[in-house]
Amino acid sequence: MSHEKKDRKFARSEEDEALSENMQALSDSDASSDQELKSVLQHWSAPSTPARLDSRVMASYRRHVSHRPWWRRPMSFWPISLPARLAAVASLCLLAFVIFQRGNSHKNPITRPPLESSVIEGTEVEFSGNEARYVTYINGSGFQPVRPVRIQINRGSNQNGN
Amino acid sequence: MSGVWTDAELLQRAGGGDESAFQLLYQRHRDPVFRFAYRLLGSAVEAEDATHDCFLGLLRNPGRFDPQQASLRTYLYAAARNLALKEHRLRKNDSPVTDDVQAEADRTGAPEPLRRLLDEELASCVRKAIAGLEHLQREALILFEYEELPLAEIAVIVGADVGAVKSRIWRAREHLRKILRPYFENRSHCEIT
Repeated sequence: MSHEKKDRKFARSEEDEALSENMQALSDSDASSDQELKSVLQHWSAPSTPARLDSRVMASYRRHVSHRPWWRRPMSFWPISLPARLAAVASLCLLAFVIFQRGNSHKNPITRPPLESSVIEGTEVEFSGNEARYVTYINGSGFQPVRPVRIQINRGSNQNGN
Repeated sequence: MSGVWTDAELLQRAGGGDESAFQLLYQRHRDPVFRFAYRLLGSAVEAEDATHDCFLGLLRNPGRFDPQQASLRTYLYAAARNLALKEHRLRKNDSPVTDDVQAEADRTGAPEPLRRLLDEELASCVRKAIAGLEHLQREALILFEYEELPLAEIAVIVGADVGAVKSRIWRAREHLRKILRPYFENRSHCEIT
């Protein structure tokens, strides 16, 4: 039994060797090497393409193209991948958004309130005892300037009388 | 429209609604795709359907074809091959090819009746022998012997490496040599007489 198996294995390995040798010999130029077989195979010729196939395919093309909106026609045959198309569309949207935002900012510029100037009096205090120099300012928040005073001098009759 | 347009350019123009561009593209690849489908399926009617579906698939999903990876012809061969494989799986018992013998007889325009009869017989025998091959062997052999494609391109079409393609072709040839051996002898005999 084991001998049979060995024989079979041996036969198979011989067959594989023959196959690998033949495979190595098979190359692109080998089409002409087996002329006998090739000439026999050539007896089976394919029929010419039926004319009705042309009309079928062209009718399918017309039906397909006419059913698509015009803006999808060049898009669907664009020979680039879907992710690249999506990326292009996304970047276009982003660009449009940026342009829109800039347009808005030019139309309605931010109007800042005029700066109110006020004089805050402060006193600088220095502590010379330490190495560090501490400076203290008086906080002027909530400071209310004096309302404009209208000085009116009345020259009364009493004065004249005195 | 001249023939300087590449397939990718024609496809793009066809997508934009240029019917003449699509027609040119179709005429460029129609015959080899039909021939391949016919030999693979063994029926002119089925080959016609397969060829139509190949081009329709190209229209529906043009993004599947990447000109950077393979030529359009390779893509169409692969599409036809996939359709034939699907058809092959649908046929449960791998029924023999149902080609119209009369149509084949009409194609052979041999003048002598005896010669014509012999040619028809041989053609029928070759057709049956090829139909009897395993599907993977059959497609590799057809692409190599009939379409005369390089091994690397066949490997791309069938989705296998070159070594596997070589093996399939070699096995297919061996099978055909055994089956068609009597015809080698008869043929030489006929030619002598």
